[in-house]
Formats: sequence, structure tokens, C-alpha cells
Amino acid sequence: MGMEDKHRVIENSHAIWTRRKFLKVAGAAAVAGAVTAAGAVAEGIIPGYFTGNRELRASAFIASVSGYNQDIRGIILSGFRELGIHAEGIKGKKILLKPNLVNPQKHLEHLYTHPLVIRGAVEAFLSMGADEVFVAEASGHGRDSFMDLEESGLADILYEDKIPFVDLNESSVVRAKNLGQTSQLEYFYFPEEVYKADIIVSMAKMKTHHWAGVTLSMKNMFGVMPGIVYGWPKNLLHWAGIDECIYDINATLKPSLAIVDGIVGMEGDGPIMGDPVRSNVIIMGLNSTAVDATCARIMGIDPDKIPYLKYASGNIGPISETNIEQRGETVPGVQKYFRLIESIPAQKRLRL
Amino acid sequence: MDSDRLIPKSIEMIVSRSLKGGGFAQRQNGEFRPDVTAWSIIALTTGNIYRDLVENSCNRLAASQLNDGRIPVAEDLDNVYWPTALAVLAWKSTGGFENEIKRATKFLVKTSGLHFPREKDSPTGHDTAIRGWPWIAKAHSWIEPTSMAILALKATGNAGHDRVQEAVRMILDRKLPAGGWNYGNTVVFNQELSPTPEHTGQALCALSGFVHHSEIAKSIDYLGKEISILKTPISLCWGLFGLMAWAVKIKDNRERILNSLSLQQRYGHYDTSLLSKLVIAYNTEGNLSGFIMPS
Repeated sequence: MGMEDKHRVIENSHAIWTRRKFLKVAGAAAVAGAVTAAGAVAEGIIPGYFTGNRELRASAFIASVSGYNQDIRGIILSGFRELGIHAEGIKGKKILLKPNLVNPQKHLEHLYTHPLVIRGAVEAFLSMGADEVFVAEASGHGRDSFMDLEESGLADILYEDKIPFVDLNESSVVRAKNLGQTSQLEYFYFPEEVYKADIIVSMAKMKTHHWAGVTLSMKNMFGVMPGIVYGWPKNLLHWAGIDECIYDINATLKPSLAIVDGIVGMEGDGPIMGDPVRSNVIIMGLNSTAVDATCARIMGIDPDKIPYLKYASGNIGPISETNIEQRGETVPGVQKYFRLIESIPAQKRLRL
Repeated sequence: MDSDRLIPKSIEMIVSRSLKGGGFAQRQNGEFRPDVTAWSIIALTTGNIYRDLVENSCNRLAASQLNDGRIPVAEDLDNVYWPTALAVLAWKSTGGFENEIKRATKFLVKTSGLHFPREKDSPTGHDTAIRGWPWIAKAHSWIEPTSMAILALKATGNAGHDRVQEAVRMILDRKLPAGGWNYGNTVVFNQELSPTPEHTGQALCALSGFVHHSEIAKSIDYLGKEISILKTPISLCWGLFGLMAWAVKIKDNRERILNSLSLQQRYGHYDTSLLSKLVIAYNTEGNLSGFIMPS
């Protein structure tokens, strides 16, 4: 086979805002057919994070939002300000927005990241000078991404606003060493788009989950894993350990920003069969672990009892309240207990 | 775009993504993908066009076959062997490649997913012991790879093989109580999941010729109702393929395929495998099974 057949290889990476550097390195690796260490240094908007600061403190911004008809762009821009995200960190950058689109069905807005939240994020990034914003997803339960876009209502938004969409299930893949090392998987195969983007934003939905307890910004990153390698469903990752893989994927990929749509979330038998719950919040942060821990508290769930957050704690982010600076609203001010099902092992005894 | 030009344009697009060494890429400037190549070969063969390109691509598929008969999705991803069944279907559609087909079928019959007796308190509803085929080694069996393997083995005269018979049972076991299939889970934590047109069409293609109509009647009803609103390529094509495998004729199917192609104005250029499926559906009027397994 010729060189066109080789997927790219990345053996190590530490950059958050410098993903285009990886592509250059990856390209070199493909041409050389050799193992390469990228080792780029974070140069981003959150000094200290992933650069040797073991205290792992982070901020999470909580916004109270009464409905999807609110000024979500403005809310996200407020979040940027509160989190210290400035235009110079975004200007000229290529932004990948990764929504949760698992099994969407028309008008069941508790199933998916709401398209108006995605529109708000696109507008916010563009207003800060982003060069390009695109939406990307690797649907987990079937190949028909366009149907998912239609069912969720996102297709209309993307078409009206001329926002590109990439089906990550069908992308060329890049091999990366598993930097989390809690599962037995030595490598991950990521779609090349995640390395072409400068900033990856996990745009999750606030839900309970019957295998992982909760699905928030970190579990949402399962949805970048390409179906052509992991299948539909991504069963190999389940066999390798869902909690371990959630941690490993995030430790390897290091998404840059998390925005969780909790305006209408899902309680009970999530991520598909649960019931809507209106908690009227958007949670944002530069550290996914801190964002997920904050979401869990808002849902009345103890983050210390969520296995993937335990793996993440102290390694890629903080989960204790003392290490998370809450911006915007307070947790008690917006707390809304999500119904848990005690007969589901992953949801048993998760309460705060 | 003029609807008369949609099929020729689609073929031009498929051909534009052919590679120098044979085979096809999923997207412009992409790399060789055996699954995409297989769908493209079948698409071009349904129109009996670009014969040299088809032959080169069949050869490229053959070159990507490993010694044990599998065709991995990419170099150094040997354990991701789900394209093997598709390669068999592509070779069967063109004729020839008997040795490659023999090796691929040998690989299929000796390979299965991870299977184990169903535990009493299992949260999932299906029988985890019945073997089918997985997407990737060391994982459970699911509807699409199992359906495609059944089609490949049926097309190669192995319909009576024990593995095929068992896989037919597996697919029936994964049928949703209300009819139809999804990726392969029926009930999880006592909740019945929903079917999809994509997987229902695949399962119906696979089961054709193996089970009595009464066993799939509810599934045909489900898909028959859904088909009237389907417009996205994968759901529409598998909807048509599945229904036609059971001789359920769909009105205006070609017009609907052209409408699906015209949606590229909304979604952007389709991937090669989507264009190929739509061309196959158009040229065969939805009768994929009849094309790869002429009676």
C-alpha cells in the first residue's frame, strides 16, 4: 500500500490550544513511518493547567437560564469573561464543537444538546474572532448522522447559519498513545479533525447514565471516537471499561472547554430512556473534571462516587469543592436533584 | 441541480475519489478504505460502467486481504475486520476472485464476537450466548456486521452453514418486541429500546430466505410506515433494501432517491459510501439482495 494509506501516528501530546502543531508532527510521522513525540507546551488562556501545576485548581461558571429562548450567546460570553477567556485566545482559531446527539428524537429536547445552545456557542466564538467554527460528532448507535441532525433540529441551525458539520465516524484516523493508562488500551484512534482543531469544546447534556452514573462533558468525548474503528455501538470501549475509557480519552485528548446544557436535562434511566428535568442552568469551564464535578453537585450527586471522576481527580482536574472556584451562580442556588434509580448499579448510592 | 443529472454527477463524484493504486476514498484526498471501495464497486457494477476501474479496485481489495482472509479497515488495524463481508459482496457482484472469496468466507465462519451465557440478573434483554459477528475483535456481536456476514455467506453458497443458521437466530433474538431492530440491544434495565430504519433494513435483508414472513411482519410494518418519511441516504437506502428483500414495492422510489441526493445542497457533499448506496438503490430499484444474489 502507498503512503496515502497510512493513518497518522501521534505517540504523545500535551497541548491544549496548539493542536495544529500536532498535525504537522503527525504528518511528519506518517511520512517517516516512525513513532514521534509531539510534546508541545500549553500556551493557552489558563496558565498553569497541564504545565506542571499539581494543585489542579480550576473554575466553573454556572449561569441560570430560564429557557432556550434566552440570549445564550450573551450567557456564553459572560462565561468567557468569568473564566478569563480573552479574544486573543480565540482570534484566528479553528473551533470544534462536539455536541451530545445520541439517539435524538424530534421535540424530545432532554435527549440532546439543544441546537440553540450550539448556535449561541458558534456566535460567541465568532464574535471573539474565531477563524472557523464547526460541529463534529461520531454518532454512537448508527451511521445516519444526517438523521440525527434532522431529529435534533440541529440541521436547520447548521444550514441557516452555514456552519459546517463533520461526521467523525467516517474520518481518517490518527493513532495516539493512551495517556490515561487506566484501561488496557495502549492506543486510541481519533478522527484527524480533533487534531486539526485548535480548540475542542465538549458541548454536553446534563444527564444521568445507566452505565456511568452521569454523562456530562467527559463522557461526551466518547462521541468523538470513530465508528469505523470502534463500531456502532463503541462496544470495545465498554469491554475495556467505560469509566476507565472516559478518563483515558479525556486524559489523552484534553478538550479545551466544556459547556454543559442543563436547561433541560435527563434524569432516571439516561442517556436515552430517562425523563426530562428542568434545571435551568448552563455550566462552563476550562477543566472538564471541574465542570463535571460541579454538574454532579447541581444534580444532587456526589462526584466522589462517580468512578471516572475519581480517576480524574488530582490527575487531570479537581473534584473537591475547595479546589473549584465557582463563578456566576452558586451550586446551592441552582441545585436540582435528578432522580436516580437504585436498581441500576451505576446509580446506586450516588447521592450527596 | 437538474434531477436528471444527479445520478451521473454522483457517479462522477465517486469516480473522482478513486485512487491511483485502485480502490476508493471516503472523501476527496482521503486514503484507501476497503468498505468504501466495496460499496463503490457494487455501485459501478450495477450500472455496468467503469469496468477497468472496478477491476483495479477489486485487485486493490485483494491486496488488502491478510493471509487468514480478513480485510481490515486500515493498515495496522488488523482487529477491525468488519469490511471482510463487504469485500466478499463486492467480489461476488463482479465475478472472479474465487480464491479471495474462499479465504474471506473461511475467516468469517471461524470468527465470532465475544459471547457468554446470559446472566440471570443481566440488565440487557437479549441472549448473549448466540453468536454473530462483531465490528472488531474482542467485542460482542451486533446487527450490522452480523447482517453483512450473513449476506456474504449466503451469496457464496454457505446459507446452510451452522454459523449462518446461528446468526439468523441471533438476529431474531435481537428483534424488538414491537418490531424492527436497532444496533442490537432490545431491552436495557427493563426498558424497550426503539428501532431504526437503518438496522431494520439490514436485518430484513439478512433474514430474507431464512424465516417465515410471520416472524418479521411487525418489522416490515414498522419499516413500511417509516419509509414514507425517510430522506437521509443511509436510512432511505437500507429502508428500500430491506423492504425490497421481502418484495415490498415502494412507490416513487427513484424520485425519493433523487430527492435524497439533492439534499447535498443542505448537508454538503456526501461521502463516497453514501453516494454509492444511493446509486445502487437507484439502479436496482432498491433490490440490493436481488443484485448480489440473482435467483
